[in-house]
Amino acid sequence: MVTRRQFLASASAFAGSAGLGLLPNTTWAAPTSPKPSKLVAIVTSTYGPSLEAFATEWTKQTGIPVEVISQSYDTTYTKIVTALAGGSPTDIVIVDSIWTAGFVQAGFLQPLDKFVGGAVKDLVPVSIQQRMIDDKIYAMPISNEAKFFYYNADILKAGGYDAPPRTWEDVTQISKELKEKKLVKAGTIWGWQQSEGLVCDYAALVHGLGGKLVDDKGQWIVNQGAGVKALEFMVDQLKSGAADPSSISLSDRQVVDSFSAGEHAFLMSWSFALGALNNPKNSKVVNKIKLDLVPGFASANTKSTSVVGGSGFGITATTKHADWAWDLIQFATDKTRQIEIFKIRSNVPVWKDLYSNPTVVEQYPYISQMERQFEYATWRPNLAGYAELSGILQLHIHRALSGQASPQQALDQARSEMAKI
Amino acid sequence: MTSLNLANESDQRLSAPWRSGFREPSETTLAWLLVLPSLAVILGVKLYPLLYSIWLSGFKVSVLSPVSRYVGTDNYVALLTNPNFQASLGRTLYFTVVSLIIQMVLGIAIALVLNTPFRGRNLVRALVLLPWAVPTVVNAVLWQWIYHPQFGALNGILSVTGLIDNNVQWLGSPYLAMNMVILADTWKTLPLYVIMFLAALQTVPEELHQAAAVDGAGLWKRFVHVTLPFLKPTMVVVLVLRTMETFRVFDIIFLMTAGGPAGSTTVIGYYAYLEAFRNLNFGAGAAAANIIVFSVALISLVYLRLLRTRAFE
Repeated sequence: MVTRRQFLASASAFAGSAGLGLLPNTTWAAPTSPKPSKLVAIVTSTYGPSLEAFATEWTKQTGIPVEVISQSYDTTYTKIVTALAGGSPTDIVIVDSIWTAGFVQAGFLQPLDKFVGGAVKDLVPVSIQQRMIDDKIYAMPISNEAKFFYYNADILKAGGYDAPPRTWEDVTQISKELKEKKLVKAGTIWGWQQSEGLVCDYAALVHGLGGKLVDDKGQWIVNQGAGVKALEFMVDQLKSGAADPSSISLSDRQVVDSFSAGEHAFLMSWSFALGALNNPKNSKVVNKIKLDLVPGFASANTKSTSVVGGSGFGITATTKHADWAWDLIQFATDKTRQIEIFKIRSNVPVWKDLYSNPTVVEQYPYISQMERQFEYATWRPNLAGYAELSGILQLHIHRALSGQASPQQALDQARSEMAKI
Repeated sequence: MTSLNLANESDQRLSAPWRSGFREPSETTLAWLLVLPSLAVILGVKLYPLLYSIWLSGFKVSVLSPVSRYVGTDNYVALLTNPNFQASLGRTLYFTVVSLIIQMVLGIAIALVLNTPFRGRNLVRALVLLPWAVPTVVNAVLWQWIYHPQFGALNGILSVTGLIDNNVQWLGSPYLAMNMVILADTWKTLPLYVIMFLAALQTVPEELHQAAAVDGAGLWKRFVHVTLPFLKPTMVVVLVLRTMETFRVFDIIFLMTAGGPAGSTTVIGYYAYLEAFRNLNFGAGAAAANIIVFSVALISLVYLRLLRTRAFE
């Protein structure tokens, strides 16, 4: 039985998506339990504003108020852990890819298979696979993420280059030339502060050099082969001046602000950077930035590399209103809402047909550019104790970057400490 | 004399009716009655969490695993033998000692200046108080921006005056970062020292200075032998307060450097936070927090001993 509200919602979504030529959203089963007095959601500040806007819409249709608690990415993890371990009533939490295994092991999330159902086949595989543990789905994807390569086309042109470099060896060479011609302060600027963003870049570089972080037996092999070569590359970039020395004190969010000043040629960053760099309020490089595949390494014969990320909305195991929580989640993640997020920030969609829909693609050309990157991207290990392991790795990589230890020494120490966990 | 007698008599006549109806509580009872409300709050809000934390530290508890087992003092032993924790302890001692030395010296110096009369002294006294009014969070972000390698005011001023050629990574270099955090913390907490020392300086009798000057004592001798003895009680009070605060430092580290770069600003307060909230080992985190509590309590006891002996001098 379809309720009046459901009919109106799907009719407007149908009309909206029909206008864009999309397939209609799946109609979900109506929630049968009594209406809750309110729903509580904990999300990162990246999605906070969007979720609040969608929740206001949803509240108009259902009459259930939604409390959205949002804070920066780095503090959201502790916020969720303390809220759920402490027993605060929470219904929906955002689940970053690397938090999935830990949250599932701690019993924070409930499986969503019965809710997602057949819609799985309409989702981009890499977005749903990262949300699955033991073949069960634990979060509904909101966004696909990977690291993309941004370059300042104007600066490159002034330096005599029409096309961006295809290998990191070329990047080093071009950076040197641009610096000599005084077109840049440094070729590349990175977000290599001691935090998760550092491990993301490191993982992408290891992959680009043909290696892995963890071998097939589950052992961390960062102190061998490509693991060491990647860190040596990072240290060399800083020493030679190809990378801006201030990189080691910038987070992967702050680095976008620095890049927007127009003093660097290359940046490797997440999808949100495109929107931020083209925002005339803060950026000096509006419409000068282009997107391309991250360079590979000539020495390893790789065409490109990247690391995936992204998040999803999960339903807590302790909620008493799982079906209403799901109602809100499917509302906030359906195709119409995905497109509305494109207008606010350059998000990468999770629904397959948004990539091939001609209207969407024409209006948002960056989507097809970003889609190409996923073919070359690697994952970070999805382990329960990932936060602690990553913390150790971040510390030692940063020691090598700040010159306190050689790459081999730092990684050896990291490896031995991680083995004790 | 006569008026005094009359006064005494009238006093007795007036107080007699009071004495028969209302018994004044003894001083001890009164003292307890006045302290009881705050004591109740302290026991309720502070004692229970403290006891729970001590109990929790005896277990291996992780949010990631549903099983918790009793491990006695294992958590404490593991921490105290862990080189990372020991390094953390060392950094905390460095932070405390360096902060205290710089802040005591500057505090006394500024108080001395503010004690000498000059035009606009009241305005300067008011301005000196302002940093204390800045919330810790705002202070941390403020100094983070001053230290920003590209857009910060510090690099800006230094390069405009030609003192540096390239931007310095103030919070990016392991040895530099800790000292810059100390500087940021000093700016905010100095007013406390200045206020307390300024108050103490008001108790120094001017005649002693004049007598010493007449005896031929120079500026330094007068400071050491006349001023300093009056400052000593205040110095001990300030030392106790500030040692406890600097030993427990957390918020400015959390906001400015997040324990970095390369772990060089991870003091034990931040270490306990990481253990409990990032690694989700609540037992170990509780143990680390308790080590801080015991250390601070020990330091306070030492200072209180010092204070008692001084009072009897």
